[in-house]
Amino acid sequence: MSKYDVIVIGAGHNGLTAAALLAKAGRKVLLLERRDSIGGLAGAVCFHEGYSAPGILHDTSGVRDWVVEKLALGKHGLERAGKEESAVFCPEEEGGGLLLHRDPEDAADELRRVSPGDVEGYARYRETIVRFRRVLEPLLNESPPTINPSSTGDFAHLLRLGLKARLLGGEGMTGFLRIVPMPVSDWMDECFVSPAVKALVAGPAHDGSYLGPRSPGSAAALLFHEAVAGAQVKGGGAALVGALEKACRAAGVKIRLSSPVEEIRFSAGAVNGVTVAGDERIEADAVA
Amino acid sequence: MAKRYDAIIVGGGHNGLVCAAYLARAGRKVLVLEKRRVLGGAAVTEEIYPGFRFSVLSYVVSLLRPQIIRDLELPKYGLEILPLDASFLPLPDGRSLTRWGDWERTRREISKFSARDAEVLPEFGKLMVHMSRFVKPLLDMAPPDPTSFDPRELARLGKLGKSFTELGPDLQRLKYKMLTMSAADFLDMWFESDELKGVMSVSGIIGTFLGVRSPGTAYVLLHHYMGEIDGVFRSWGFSKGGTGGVSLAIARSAEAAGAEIRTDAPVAKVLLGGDAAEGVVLENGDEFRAKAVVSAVDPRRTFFGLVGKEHLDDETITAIGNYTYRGSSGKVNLALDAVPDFTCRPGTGPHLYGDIAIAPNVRYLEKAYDEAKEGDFSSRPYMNIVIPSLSDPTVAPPGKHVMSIFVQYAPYHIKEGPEQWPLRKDAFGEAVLSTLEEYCPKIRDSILHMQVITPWEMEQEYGLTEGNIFHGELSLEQLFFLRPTAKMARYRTPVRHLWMCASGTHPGGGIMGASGMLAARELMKAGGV
Repeated sequence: MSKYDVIVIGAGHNGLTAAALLAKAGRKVLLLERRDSIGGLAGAVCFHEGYSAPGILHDTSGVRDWVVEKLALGKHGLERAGKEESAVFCPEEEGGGLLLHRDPEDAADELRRVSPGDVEGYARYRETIVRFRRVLEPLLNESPPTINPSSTGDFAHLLRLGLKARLLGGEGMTGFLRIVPMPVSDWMDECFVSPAVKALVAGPAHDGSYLGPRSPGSAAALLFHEAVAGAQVKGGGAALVGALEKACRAAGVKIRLSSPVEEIRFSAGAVNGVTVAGDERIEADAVA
Repeated sequence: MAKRYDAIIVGGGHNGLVCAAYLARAGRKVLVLEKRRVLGGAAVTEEIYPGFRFSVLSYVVSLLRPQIIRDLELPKYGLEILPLDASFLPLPDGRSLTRWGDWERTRREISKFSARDAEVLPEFGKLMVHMSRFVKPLLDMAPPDPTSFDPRELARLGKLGKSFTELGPDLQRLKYKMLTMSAADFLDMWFESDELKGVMSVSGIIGTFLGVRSPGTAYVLLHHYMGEIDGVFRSWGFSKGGTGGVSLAIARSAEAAGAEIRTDAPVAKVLLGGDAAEGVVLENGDEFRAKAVVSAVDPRRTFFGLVGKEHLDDETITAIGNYTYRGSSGKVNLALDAVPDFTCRPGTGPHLYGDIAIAPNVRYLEKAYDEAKEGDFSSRPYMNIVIPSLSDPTVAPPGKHVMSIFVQYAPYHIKEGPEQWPLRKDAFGEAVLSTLEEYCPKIRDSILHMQVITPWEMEQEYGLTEGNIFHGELSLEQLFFLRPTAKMARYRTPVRHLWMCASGTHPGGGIMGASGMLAARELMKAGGV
C-alpha cells in the first residue's frame, strides 16, 4: 500500500482544484469521491436518458482567472463565454421583459426603453462596482486575514488590506463601509428608480442565503457576487469539471470514484490517513 | 436688533439642554429655543389627564452618562433615579418568568424553564459586560475620521485597534460575530429556553425596523449591558417625577450657569449669510443672532427644514436624503384606578415594580415584524410596560396608577400612507388593549384615560421625523463615523457655524446626553464659540 502526501476528500470543483494544484506542485495526491461521478454540486446531472442538466451550482461566473491560468485549463478544453452570456433576462407580466447587460453601454438601449430614469444610475452603479472590485477581488484571491494578529506577517497582511481600502479614497472608503452592512433593498433604492431594475440587479444577493432583500448585510452579498463575477464557462459546470479532471490527470492525481471515506484516522494527535468503506486504510501526511 | 449670543440651540430636548449646559458652564452666552410649551423633547413628562403625570414617550433611564450627571451636578438640580429591580415576563399559558436584581432569585426562576440556561446566564452576563467595556469608551468620544492621514486621527484609530486586541482572540471572534449576527441566532448559541430567548432578544430590536432574526441585531444586545446608574452595570431606572425630570434637572443646571431658555419659541429658519449660519428666525419673525447655531433636532429637519435644500449642495442633499428613519414604534399611556392584575401572577407585588415584557417567544416577535414589513401595525405586538406610580407616587393620585406601554411594531410607513395614521389610531389602541387583555383580562375596567401615540404623532407633535425615537435608525451604516453621514460625523455640517448635537449624531439613541456633551466639547475645541 502506497502512502500519499495528501488525500483530498470529495471531487467537487474545489476538491478537484486543490488536488490539481497540489499535484502540480509535486505532491502525490489521491482524490476520493463518494459518488460514481465527479463534480459534486457543479457536475452535470443526467436525469433522463439522453438528457443532462447543469448541476445545482450552475453559475460559473466566479471561476478565478488565476486558477484557469495556473492549471492551464484552456489547454484542457475550458472556454469562457462572451459578454452576451453575462446578461440577465427578466420577463415581465405585461410581455416584453428586460434584458440587462453588465456593460452599461450595452444595457443603455434596453434601459432607455424600460426605465429611462435608470440609464445614468446604472452606469454609476457599474462604476462603483469597478472601484470596489479593486479592493474586494484581491481579497478573494488570498486566504482570509486573521482578526487577532500575532505575527509580523499577520500585521503586514492586515496593514496591506487597510492600505488597499485607503486606495479607494476617503469618500470611496466611507461609502464602502456604509454599503456593506446595508439591506440590499436600501442600496437599490438609492441607485435605481424602476422596481424591475432594482430586483434584477439585487437578485444575486439572495443566492443560497437565508436573507431577504430587507435584511441588513444583504448588500454585502451582492457586492461579493459583483466582485467575483466574470465571464461564464462555456458549457457550464460540467465543462469546468471536465477541464479540471483533465488537469488532475495531467498532473498525476489519482482519482477514485465510489470510495466513501468513513473516518479520518489519527495517530499521536495528528491526522495520518483515512478509512474508506470496506475497512480499507490509506495513509497520508495530510488530509484535505 | 436683539442681543447677540455665542450659541443658539434649536430644540430643548435632553441633548440640546446638555449641550447648552456645558457651553454655559464654560462661560458662553447661550440661548435655547424650544417649539413646545414644555421642555424635554421626547424625554418629557406631561399631565395629560388631571392628576396623572405621563412620561409621554421615553419612559426609562439607563444610559445617561455618569460624567454628565457629575459635571452638571444633576442631583443638586432635582435628578433622582429610582432603580428598576425586576423584569417580569408574563406568558399566555399562565406561567411567568421574572428576572431580579438578586442573582439567586433569577436562577431559581429560570431553572423552571431550563436548568442549563440558569447555569449559563451568569456566564453570559459576565461576558457581555466584559465586551461592552470595549464599546463604552466609544460613547464618550467623538468618532475618529478613518479617512484622515492626520497623525492624531491615526493615533485614535490605533487606540481603538489596541483596545480591540486587548479583548483576546476568543472575545474578538465573538465580537466580530456579534456585529453581523441576529439577536435570535446569537442567543441560540447560549440558551435553549424559547421564553428566555424571546424576552432577551427584544433588546436587539427596540426602536429599529428589524426583527429579532434580522442580521445585525445581536450587537444591540450589548447596549443593554452598558446601562449604568451610580456606576452599577445593567441597571435601569425611573426618573422621579417622570422622565421629564431628567430634562428639567439639566435645564435648571444650564440656567444656573446663565443659559437662557425659551419655550413656545418655534424656529422657522436658520439665518444664513453666504455659506455661514448667523442666527435663527422664529415663526413669529423674531430674529436672534449668534456665533454658532447648534441644531438639536434630527438631520432631515435640520437641513431640509431649518436650512432649506436651496442652500445645500447636491452631495449633502443626497446624503441627508439617504439617511433612514422608518419609525417602528408607538406608545400607549394609561391612567388606571387600580393596579393591573396579571392572571399568571395575581395581585400586586415586586414583580410589577420593574419592566413587564410581552414577548413570549422568538416566533411571536418575528411574526409581529412580518406584519410590519407588509405595512401594518402588529396585531400582537411586542410591548414593554412600566408602572412608575408603584415606586414613584408623585406621578398619580393616591391609589391610582400610570401604565406606560412601549409598542413595537407600529411602522410609520403603513400601507395606507403615514398621513392615514389618524384613521388607524383607534384600531392600533385596540390591538394593544386586546393583547394586554390576554394577560390582564380585567384591564379595561380600570382604565380612566388612554393616550395613544402613533408614529405620525411622534413626528407631527414631537418633531421625531418618521416617528423614529432615535433621530434616525441605529443601523451599522448609520453609526459612529457614519452618523448621520461620513462628512458630518463630528458634529460639524457643510454650513459653516451650524452644528448638530442630538441623537442623529454619534452615539445617538436613548437618554444618554453624550451627543450633546460631545458636540459642546467639539464646538469649543474648534473655537466655534
